[in-house]
Amino acid sequence: MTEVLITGIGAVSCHGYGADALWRAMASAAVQLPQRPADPLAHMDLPLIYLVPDEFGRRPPEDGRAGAFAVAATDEALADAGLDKTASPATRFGTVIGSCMGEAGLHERGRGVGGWNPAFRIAARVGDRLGRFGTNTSIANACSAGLFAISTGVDMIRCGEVDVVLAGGSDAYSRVALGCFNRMGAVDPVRCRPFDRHRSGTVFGEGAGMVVLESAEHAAARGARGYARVDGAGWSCDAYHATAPDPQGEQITRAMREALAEADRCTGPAEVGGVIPHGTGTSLNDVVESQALAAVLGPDGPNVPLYSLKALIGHTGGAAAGLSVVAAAMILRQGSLPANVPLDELDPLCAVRLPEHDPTPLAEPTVLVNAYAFGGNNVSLLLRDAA
Amino acid sequence: MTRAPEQLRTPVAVRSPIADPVITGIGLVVPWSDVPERALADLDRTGGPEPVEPGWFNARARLGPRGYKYLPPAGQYLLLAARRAIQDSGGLEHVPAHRRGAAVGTNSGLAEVFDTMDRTVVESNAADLSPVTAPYFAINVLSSRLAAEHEMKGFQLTLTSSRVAGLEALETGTRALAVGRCSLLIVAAMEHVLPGSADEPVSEQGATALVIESAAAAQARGVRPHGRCRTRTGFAPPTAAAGPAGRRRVGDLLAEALTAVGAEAGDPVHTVLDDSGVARAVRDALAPRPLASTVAAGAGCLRPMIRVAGLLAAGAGPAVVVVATAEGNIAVTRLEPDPSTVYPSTGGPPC
Repeated sequence: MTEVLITGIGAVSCHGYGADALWRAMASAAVQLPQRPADPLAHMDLPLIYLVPDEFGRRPPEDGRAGAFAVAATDEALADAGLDKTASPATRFGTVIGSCMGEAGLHERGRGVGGWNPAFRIAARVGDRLGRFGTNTSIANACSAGLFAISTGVDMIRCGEVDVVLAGGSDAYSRVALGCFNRMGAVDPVRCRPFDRHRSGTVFGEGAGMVVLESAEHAAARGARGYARVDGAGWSCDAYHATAPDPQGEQITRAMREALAEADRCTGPAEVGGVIPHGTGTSLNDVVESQALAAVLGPDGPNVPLYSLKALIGHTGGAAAGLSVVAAAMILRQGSLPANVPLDELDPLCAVRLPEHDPTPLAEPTVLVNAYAFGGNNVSLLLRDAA
Repeated sequence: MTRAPEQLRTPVAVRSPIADPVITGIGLVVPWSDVPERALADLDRTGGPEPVEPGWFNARARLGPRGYKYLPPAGQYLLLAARRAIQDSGGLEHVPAHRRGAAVGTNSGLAEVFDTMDRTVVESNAADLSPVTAPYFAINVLSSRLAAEHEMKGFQLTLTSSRVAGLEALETGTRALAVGRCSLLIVAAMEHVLPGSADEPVSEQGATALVIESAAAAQARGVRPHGRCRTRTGFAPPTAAAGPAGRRRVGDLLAEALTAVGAEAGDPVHTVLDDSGVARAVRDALAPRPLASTVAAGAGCLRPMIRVAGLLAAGAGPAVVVVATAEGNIAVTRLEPDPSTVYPSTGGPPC
């Protein structure tokens, strides 16, 4: 099987632009409180979201925020990979970007210019920015879109279609999405606090997470250093309910197991060094994921450390797993998980280990990333230190 | 009620990459026909659908008496098209639930619902949103009903690139089949009207669905496939494609895609193009080939898939469908209705 490496990363989050800004926030593990969007028409009880701060005083247009975040993360990832200036014209290049809402601002009153334009234009905008003729795919699997995009990019390389793929996810504030979560009673009034006993929903965030995927052969030919190797991916679908996860968790369990099994040498549960869970803060989801992790990781499962990224940046929708993979790449390079944002009280129904206060060295050089979504769309990715 | 962790022991699927996918089922529903060949013939005759009467799709009559009232229209069309495709293929029972995958393309499937929800929030309050439609802020939820109805637990993908999303679903889903993420695949496209009264672009309504599986599986069941197809999408950055050099690159990209799908010089070409520079460059690059039909792109991704479904159902000779858009997305698919045809080896599965 063709080996695929992550050779570049880029991130935009409520902590600012750049993977370094994200890592600094991860290292500080400070409690972050959500904000209110500058939208006078956001008529809802809890208009809460973790907003991306303006960069150098520049605010992206309301109908182009998600694309602007994606472009910024793309530029960073390509520069980080050393492909911004030096990529050979002969390199076969692909772009795969996931998003839950696309440019939702285009179709929300007072935010867009009116008229019809497809909302899911982020991948095409990034592609135009890159200026490379190749392939360009847009995946809209809601909150798992970013990880399906990255996994699809890996498959494209393994099938020999392309040498390099820019993949990830991006999402921005959407009045409709936030209104619907309010209506469903799924917004936590305090902050995003997955696995906390007192959690009562999630809190959205804005952001983008992009990675450069590259065949190991292509990376070696140009002397590029990888952050991580993609060992395996598992896909599944609950086929159960529009919004609720299957309480049995069978399909998220299978997605994790398939990710472990896909590696050239099958990865045993004991070889999982850490997990970045989907962990949103919604009550049932966190319990089901906890139980599925216990099933997959076996008797030592409760000892495997988790890094709960959403507690730091909110639930960034289609960008969430893109940012999780960026975080996982940095964790693998550092060899340890940063301390988690402190919880008030771990939910006793969630038998997971969320180390606080100090970094936790990885016992094994692997990180499992999970992403789930409305519609029961599940995907897991296993990353291994590229060294 | 949740199970104890030790009970959660779902077996991991045995990956069986599929290198010889064939189409064994076709389903379609559009306002002017439910028959793929007729739908295509009318599309060619009129250049697009006649004005559509609201309420043309009676979900209760066509899907069943209960459970569909609050499913947005595009999801209703999808369910019916998929049911017909599955019936045409002889059912899904021969494939375990966890080996069934779905890839669905759409651009405007939720546009009207989204606009209505935004109006409610703006003019009233989110508390006044309907709780049954609130989940449909996310476009992939439209397809979740398809997965639930047919126990499609392998995966469900929603693809959304402008106007090529249906063919993008065909390519992405077939790639997943090729690498063994499923054993049977439903590829679909669905659209519904745009909100408001904008004349351009033309709204599309309806859905198409194809059932795809391995030739060996079809043969084992005694099912004669409708044919095969290979799809390749591409991207021509609109800014870079604007100049003469860029237009040549569009031609090169198109040539690569045509080669990748196994197109031959004499294949009739059917185009679905908008009025963009990228589409004009594609049209010019196609000039030496015989153009069998040209249809103006609608607002969504349905028209190319009506072409694919109609040609396959008609059992006509080999044909190529080409789509190009202002956003830079290009898609090429080659249909080979004769399933006995063997594609020249490209050194790997038809990803």
